[in-house]
Amino acid sequence: MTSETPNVQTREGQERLKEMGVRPVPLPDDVSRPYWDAARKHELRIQQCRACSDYQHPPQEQCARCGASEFDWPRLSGLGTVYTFVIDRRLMTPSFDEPYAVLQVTPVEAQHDTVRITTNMLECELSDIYCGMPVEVLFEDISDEITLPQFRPTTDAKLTSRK
Amino acid sequence: MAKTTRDKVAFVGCGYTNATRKLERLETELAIEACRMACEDAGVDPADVDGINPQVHHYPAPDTADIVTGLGMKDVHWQREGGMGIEPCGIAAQAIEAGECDRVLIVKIMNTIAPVTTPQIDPDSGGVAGPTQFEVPYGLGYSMQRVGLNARAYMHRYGYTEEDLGWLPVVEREHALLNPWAVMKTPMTIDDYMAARYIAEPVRLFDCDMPVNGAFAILMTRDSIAKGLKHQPVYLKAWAASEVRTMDHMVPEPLEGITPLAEELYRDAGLGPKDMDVWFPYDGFSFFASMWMENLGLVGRGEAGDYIKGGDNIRIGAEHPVNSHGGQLSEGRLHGMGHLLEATQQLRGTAGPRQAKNHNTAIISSVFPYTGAAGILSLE
Repeated sequence: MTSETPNVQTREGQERLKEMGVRPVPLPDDVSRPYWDAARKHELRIQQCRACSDYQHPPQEQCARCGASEFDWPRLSGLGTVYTFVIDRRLMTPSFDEPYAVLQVTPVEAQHDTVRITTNMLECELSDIYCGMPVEVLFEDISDEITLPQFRPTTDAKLTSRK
Repeated sequence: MAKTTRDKVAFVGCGYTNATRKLERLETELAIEACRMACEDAGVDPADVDGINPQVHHYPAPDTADIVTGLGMKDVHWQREGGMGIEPCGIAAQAIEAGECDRVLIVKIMNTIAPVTTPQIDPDSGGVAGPTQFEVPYGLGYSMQRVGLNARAYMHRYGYTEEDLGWLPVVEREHALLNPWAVMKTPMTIDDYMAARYIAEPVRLFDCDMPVNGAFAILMTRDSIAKGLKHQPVYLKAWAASEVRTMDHMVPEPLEGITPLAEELYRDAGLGPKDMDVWFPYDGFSFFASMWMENLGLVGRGEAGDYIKGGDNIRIGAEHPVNSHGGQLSEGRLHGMGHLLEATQQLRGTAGPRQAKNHNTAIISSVFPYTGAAGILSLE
């Protein structure tokens, strides 16, 4: 075995990271920090443009709609719907075991379905996930510094496996 | 950025090595062979070629000087490295128009069984910076997953099934069986397609283009020279490119109308979507081709699934055959060069068993359907 740094450009490198127990964690920056700080407090907050009131996520330096650069970070209800999802069967991301689902959730407050929070689905069978499924946020503390917002079905979701 | 080629620059020669799954020969050797064949096809002495644009997928690239020497080029008046698809052809055409050079070889060299986009993770800390900090910590780091998210949303919005969209890879395979350069040689039915394993559900194995090794070259020159060569010149009528973005994070897909890029393209060409005879939508993933057909206005918004379903509208023999060479899914991943070579063969009428019945114009797109480039080729 080599002690060289794994090459993350390759599948082998990603497998090596997994063996090493590396878990990918967000590195907050000036633009994203309010999101992760809120998550740490178990609150879901996303950018809202002060000029045009549009919600935007992921956060940017400027509003994609009107170009303004001042934002509020209102707290959301945490309710949303599944915009789309993919079930990974073959690929390799350290700390994930296939199959697993990656979803994009549109918060109920958003004006457009281009506002999408990428998440996993907790407390749900993979076969139960569907586009339009109502979901709610919960929070996963993965380290002392970082909490990931995650989603699970609301009681209104139709779960075929629970029949 | 768009450009109509006022002085008329043409594609005049096509050169191929076989696409193979393993790298069987040196990249330089493959490049020289493809370039030499493109010159022979056109009836041009390689010594008279004075411009070159080698494009490789993975670095290190072969030394351009070795290709120039091996080919027997004398003076290099214009040189550019890299690029993919129609955009570098447009840039080469500009150099020809500007009088910088007369004859340019563009050669695509695929020199590895390439990995895909991988999650960019700091190996020591696990840290993920930039836009993917919202994705990789959730296990989203590969282009197939991102395509899967887009494809699922599209199918849900317009009521299509995986099988509906599966007809594109199936028909491309039929086309590849007629293409001697194609890497995929076995027939594939819709049942075979559906039985293939998922990579990132709903994306299956045969929705992903096939990594290959080989070199593929095209020769371009000005109209006054093109007219005296072996084949009927195929002109680059117009091209347009949007700001190039990588696929390293999700960009919300526009699902309304044709793209500004397409509007610009048609305006510059003085032609419309209905004037396009043979269609070459980029198919790095099968879903890209559906999106390109809609983004270019070739079919209406939300109609690609119905159009593809059953295959009859997209086969060779249809009014508008789609990717008659087999596309990247079945000819092989040539980053748009396969589309370009086949469009040239189609328009000049040398596509043999793959020949389309109407072949005055072709439309080509390159790279990602939301941020790529497109061009129109024409006999006039």
